[in-house]
This record gives sequence, C-alpha cells and structure tokens, in this order.
Amino acid sequence: MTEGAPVVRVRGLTKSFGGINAVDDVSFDVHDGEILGIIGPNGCGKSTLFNCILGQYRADRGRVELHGRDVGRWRPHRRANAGLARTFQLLQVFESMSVRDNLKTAAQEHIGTIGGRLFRRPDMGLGDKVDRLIERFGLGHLAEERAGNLSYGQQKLLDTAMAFVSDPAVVFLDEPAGGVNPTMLGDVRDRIRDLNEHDGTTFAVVEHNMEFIFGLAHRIVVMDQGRVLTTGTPDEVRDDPRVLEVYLGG
Amino acid sequence: MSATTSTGERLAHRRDAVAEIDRGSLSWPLAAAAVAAVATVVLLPVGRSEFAGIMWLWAAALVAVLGLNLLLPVESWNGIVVKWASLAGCVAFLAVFPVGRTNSTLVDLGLFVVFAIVCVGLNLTHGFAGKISLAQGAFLGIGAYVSVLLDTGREVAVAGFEGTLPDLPFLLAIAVAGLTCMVLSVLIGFPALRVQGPWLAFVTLAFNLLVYLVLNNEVGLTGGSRGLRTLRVDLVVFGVDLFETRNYYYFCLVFLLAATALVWWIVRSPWGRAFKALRDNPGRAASLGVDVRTYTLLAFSIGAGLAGVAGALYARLIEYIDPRGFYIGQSFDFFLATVVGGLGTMVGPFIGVSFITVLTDRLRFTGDYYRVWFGLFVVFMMLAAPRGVAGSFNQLRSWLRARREAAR
Repeated sequence: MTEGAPVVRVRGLTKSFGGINAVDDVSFDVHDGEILGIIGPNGCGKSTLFNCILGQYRADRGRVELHGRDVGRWRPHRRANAGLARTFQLLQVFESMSVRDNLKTAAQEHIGTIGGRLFRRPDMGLGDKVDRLIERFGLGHLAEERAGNLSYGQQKLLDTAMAFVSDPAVVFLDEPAGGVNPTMLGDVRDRIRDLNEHDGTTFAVVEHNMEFIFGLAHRIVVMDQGRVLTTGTPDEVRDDPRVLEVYLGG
Repeated sequence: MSATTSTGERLAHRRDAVAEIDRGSLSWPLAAAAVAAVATVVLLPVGRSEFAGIMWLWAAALVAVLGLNLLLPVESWNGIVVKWASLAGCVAFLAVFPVGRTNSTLVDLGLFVVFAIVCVGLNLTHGFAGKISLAQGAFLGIGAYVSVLLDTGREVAVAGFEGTLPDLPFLLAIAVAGLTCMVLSVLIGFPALRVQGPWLAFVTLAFNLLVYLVLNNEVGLTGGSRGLRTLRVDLVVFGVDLFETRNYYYFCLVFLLAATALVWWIVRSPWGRAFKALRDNPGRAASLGVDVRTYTLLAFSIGAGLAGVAGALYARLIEYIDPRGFYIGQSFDFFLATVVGGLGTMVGPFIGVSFITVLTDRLRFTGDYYRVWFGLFVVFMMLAAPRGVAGSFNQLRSWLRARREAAR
C-alpha cells in the first residue's frame, strides 16, 4: 500500500507555544490509499500536528503539501475544500440540526461558490448521496433526528460520516477509538478498513489504543516530544527498541 | 440491522429524547407561573390604548396559531394546510389592522411594523447565525439619518468637508440607507470573527455608543441633539400617496413581508445550514469547508441592512429624528424582543415585538419603575422558557412527538 504517490507531504513542520516546541521539525508523507497511524505518548504533539496540517493552528515553520501544492498558509475551510477532512478528539456535530442536515452541511461547501449556493435548491442535489451514507453508517432510522438527541456512539458515527461525505483526498481521524465501548472497537475498525479497501479512502489516524492501531494501519509514525521518532510498518515499529523505551520509560 | 433492534433502538432513543426534554431547559412550574404573571399584567385594565388592544389581540392570535400547529404533525397534509392557512391569516390580520383607526394608532402600528423588520433581521444574525448584536439601534439610526440627509439636497459641514448632499427619491434613499448599514456592519463583523457571546455583545454595544456620540456631536451633519426633521416632498411611490399614514403603513408592511420572505429564503437555502453550523460550532464548520469569515460578515450585514431599511421607514413615519431614539436602550429592546419571541424561529420576532409593545403599554402605570418591572419580567420569562415563546412551542412539539412515538 505504501507504493502509492504521496497525497500529503509534511516537511519540517514546527509549532511552539511559549518556548515549548509542541511540534518540532516533523516530516512525513501520507500515500494514496494507505492508512497511516500516528502514535506517541500523551503530550507528544499528535493533536497539535493535526491542527497544523488542517489549519486550526498556523505552523511557525514548515510546509504542508496536498498533491504538491503548499496549503500551509490557507485558512481551514480552504484546506477542507481542497480535500483535507478531519474529525476532532472531542466529537463535534451540529447539535441543533438533523442528522441529514449535518451531512448536507458537511458536503455543500465543496460545491460551487457562496453566492451561487444562495440560489441552489435547499438540498443541493445531495439528498441521495447523504441518504446512502446515512444507511452505510447505520443511522437510517435517525435521519431526521436532532443530532444533539443522539447517543454518544451515534454522534461519533455521524461525526465520522461528516468527514467522508465530500469525498476527501485524505481523512484525518483524531482518536476514532476514544470513548468507544471496547465491544464496539472492532466495528469502528471494520468500518474504517471497509472505507479504505472499497472506496480507496486514504487515512491518517492518531490513536492511543495500540492494539487498535496496530491492527489497522499499514504504516505507523511514532512521535515523542514533538519529533518523529521512527516510521515503519506495524511490525517494524513494534520491534523497535526506541519505541519500547518511549512507552515503558527507560 | 434487524427490524427488532431498530425498533428497540428507536424506542430507547425516543425515551432518551423525552428524558432530555424533561430535564432540559423548559421548566414547567416556572413556565406556568410566567404565563399567569404575564396574563395578569396584560389583562390589567390600566393604560389600555386602542393600539395596545390590537397588539394584545395580535399576540394572542399568534400564540393560538402556534398552539394549533402544535396539535398537528408538520409532515401531515392537515399540518401543511394549517401552516399555510395560519400564515395567510396572519398576513390578513396585519392588512386589516389599520382599518378605521385614528392617525396616532396608525403611527404606532407603523412603528410595530418597522421594529418587526429590525427584529426579523436580528433574528437572522443572532437567532440563526448565533452572532449576538446589541447595535441594531445604531443601524436603525444610521438608516434613519442617511435617508433624511438625502431628502432635499441638504447643506452639511462635517470634518472640514462642506457641501450639498444629493437629493434622492425615497425608494433610492431607502436602498442607500440599507447599503450604508451593510457596509458599516462589516466594521463590527470583523471583531465578531475574534470574539463570541458576551464579548461580542460588548463590542457591538460600544459601536452603538460610538454611533450615538457621532449623531449627538456632529452638529454640522446630524443637527446634534436637536435632531433632524424630514423635508421630503416626493412621497408618491407607484402612484400611492405616502403622506397618507394608512398608505404609509401598508408601504412599511410590504417591506416587512419582503424582509420575512428574504430571511425565510436564506434560512432554507444552503446558507441557512451554514449559518446554523456557525452558530452551533464554528470550529467544526470551518473544518468542513464553511468559510467562517464570509458567512459571519454576511450574517451581520444582512441583519444590519434590514435595520437600515427599517430606519429609513422609521424616519419618514415619525417625521423627526434625534439621537435619543437610537441609544443603547433601543438596541436592548430589539435584543429582548428577539430573545423573548424565540431565537431562530420565523414567528419569534413577531411575537417578541408585540410582547414588548404590550408590556410597555401595560407597565406604564408603574411610572419611573417601568424599566425595573420590565427587566424582572424578561428575567422571569427567560428562566421559565429560555428558548422564548416560539422556541418553547417547538420544544413542546418535539416532546409530544417523542411521546407519541414512544407510545406506538
């Protein structure tokens, strides 16, 4: 899977907060069609890295390239419209809107211009696509329900579905297994794998749950104290003494 | 997924929804007490003018319409018929208002319509897009002054500039008033990109104060505290003589209906979803491609533009404007009307404005304590039903629906 061309290239990305380098000269590629895992102990800069790649933070230095184009200075919505989708560590859905409207909102801004959208049909022809995705994520019976009324697990599904609806080039998932009932973890993993294998969706996944990510990712980037410690296949990473040291203390 | 699980899940989910609403924001004992208190004051036999009587009837009709719509599911044919019939009824009511009224009542009715335009716009900015604004009074004022200044080729002297302003036809002056407010609203729209909630309220309040000071002090332009009198003589629009107050009321009503239709159109278009996304969670919205900056500025400028148009209509209606009419108290009234009526509902602003009007009239007997009583009422209302009148009806509707489905 790693042979695919790099969709996203991160080069020398650095972000510091008051003298602490949360992300320090980080470089890696996300290849087309792969699932890339990003792991590391608490506070190693994984979420900050995501925020810099997707525009929630502006990096101090470094480049973020999408299909060879530097998007590192763009505002987040522009990066999203260019094909970088994400979820957040804490789930975020639009609580006052129905499940269907949440997904339409997630899809609509990728079509046409702002001015043009005022005069489009309210559902912008997204109805079928949204309904298919709702069925696929098992939310069919809740399509018209207020998202705020959904259970945590259902909101998590919706949150993930929202990242997919616009057919993004890469989906960045921030702890997809976080807060999920252990018996449901297999479900989450199967769904991500299915989207990867059948739809060819590319993923970058930050995760704390080692078992979960080692059973899912094709390649893994290990971070420690804001830097990339090592990169490799799950087997290579598992056998790397430095990784053990970081996790077990040495 | 098998049929049994899906039904089971649905039921469990409905129960959750019911529980959510039960422990949620609508407090039944408080709501009942609020209704009783408001009814007592509203029914007090003191200070009942012809105008307040009409407003009372109007507010009661709206609440009755909401109640009627509550009984029927929105999706059913009956529900749709009732919905459109209610709408037609409300428009008919507004059209019949002025028949056989005295001139002073007609002016009051016109004020109701003008203020409703402001609140319809504010409802888009605050109710749907979640951007609080305490500057609508200032935009009303800017609109009013712009339209008056452009009436008869006035001589002005401001900041070293002396000259004659153009003399524009009334409709054009209204458009310029609206556009001026839209452009100026971008000034407070930019801070809104950085601050939210109470901080944004402070920023907009400061803007209102600034506008008030300019209106009060730039004597060469605004006449200062003496104000300005409209001198417009070309008040025949499409063959209708607008000097006639009743005609002018209908003229304002057309603007109100157009403003309502515009906001309705925007809210159900993809823009509406983007605005709500902005209100619910701007960070998430941006990560999904919503251009937060542009939509925020749009939300502000549409609300301000409508307030500007309302200002132009207001100036002609009362014929004389001075800065006191556009002080922060006015902005608070618009804010309270929108919140009390129900933020983010189409009918909310109409209920809110009539509620505020009736309450103002009924509390007149309290004299200097009027603001105190008024404030207490609003606090009480908000504790009882934080989503306002129309919002509470919506909550009630989901509660009834959840119960119906759980019982099924």
